[in-house]
Amino acid sequence: MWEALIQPFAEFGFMRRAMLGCIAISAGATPVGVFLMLRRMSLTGDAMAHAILPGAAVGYLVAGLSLGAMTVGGLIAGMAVALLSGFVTRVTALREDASLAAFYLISLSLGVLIVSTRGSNIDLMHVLFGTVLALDNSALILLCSITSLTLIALALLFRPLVLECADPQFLRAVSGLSAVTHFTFLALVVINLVSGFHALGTLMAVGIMIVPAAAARFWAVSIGGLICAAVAIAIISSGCGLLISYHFGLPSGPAIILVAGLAYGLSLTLGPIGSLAAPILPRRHVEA
Amino acid sequence: MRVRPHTARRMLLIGVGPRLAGAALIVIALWAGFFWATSTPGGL
Repeated sequence: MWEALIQPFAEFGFMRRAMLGCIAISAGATPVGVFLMLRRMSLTGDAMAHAILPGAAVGYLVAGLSLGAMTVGGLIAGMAVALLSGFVTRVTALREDASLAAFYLISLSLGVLIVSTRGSNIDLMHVLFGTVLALDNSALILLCSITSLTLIALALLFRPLVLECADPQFLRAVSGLSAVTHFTFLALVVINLVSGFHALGTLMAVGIMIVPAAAARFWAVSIGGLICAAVAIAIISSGCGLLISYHFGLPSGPAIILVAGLAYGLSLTLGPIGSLAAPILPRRHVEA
Repeated sequence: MRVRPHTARRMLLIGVGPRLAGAALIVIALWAGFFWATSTPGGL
């Protein structure tokens, strides 16, 4: 048991770093995913994850596989797509989902074009699937910093965010914080996708954000409970995914997301709240 | 009816202190994990 579960982390530094990177992403990106899910914006997260690709690709072209350049490029591209789609929605007849879909597909194709014409297949694989087993000190500092910033921002804006999920009109009516909350939240989505992009790649970054949040929906009712359950599922999935990847020689990112998917399947089937099994599970009696 | 926006703002700030303290604890644990993971032998 020790050899299978603990030894890879005790013996190899790259496994410890990968686990720490995954914990950082789970603690920062997954709570953001919970709010995305509550705002019915789960697919927006996916679109934004693809939208950061051309920025990262341009960063790669300018400075090679440089953490800073790819991060700044990804942030600029992600924010540009978010703001442009918001602008188009406000000034034209196009709905937000269609506008965002158009921009992210243009963005994704541009990113793949840039990377594949100017880089090798290995570079493209790095950008698309990430390198969680090769996180160095600077990458870990970036992930931990983004998580720290996210947690503090969520602690400060928790109630406005909850109110915006439940009743955005009310928040707009009683406070001037509506716009601040909305744009801070979009910024948090983008920076956490950039963080996830370094470890899991553009295709998998949104997975660790949304899949644990969706699984947690079957275990908790309150928003605090949802966040705790989602983070726990994300961390356990990361640990199991890394171990499966280590023992069976599989790619780490997809292994982590597949384990999270398995947790989602189990939650969907056996979770106590709103799952397939919920109607036949014994319930607590309501007492007066 | 007279609107008092500061009341609503105060309402939005309820519980910020404990939440910030919780976030700070998690952040400290995360950075402690970083120093542990990067200082122990076997790293990159």
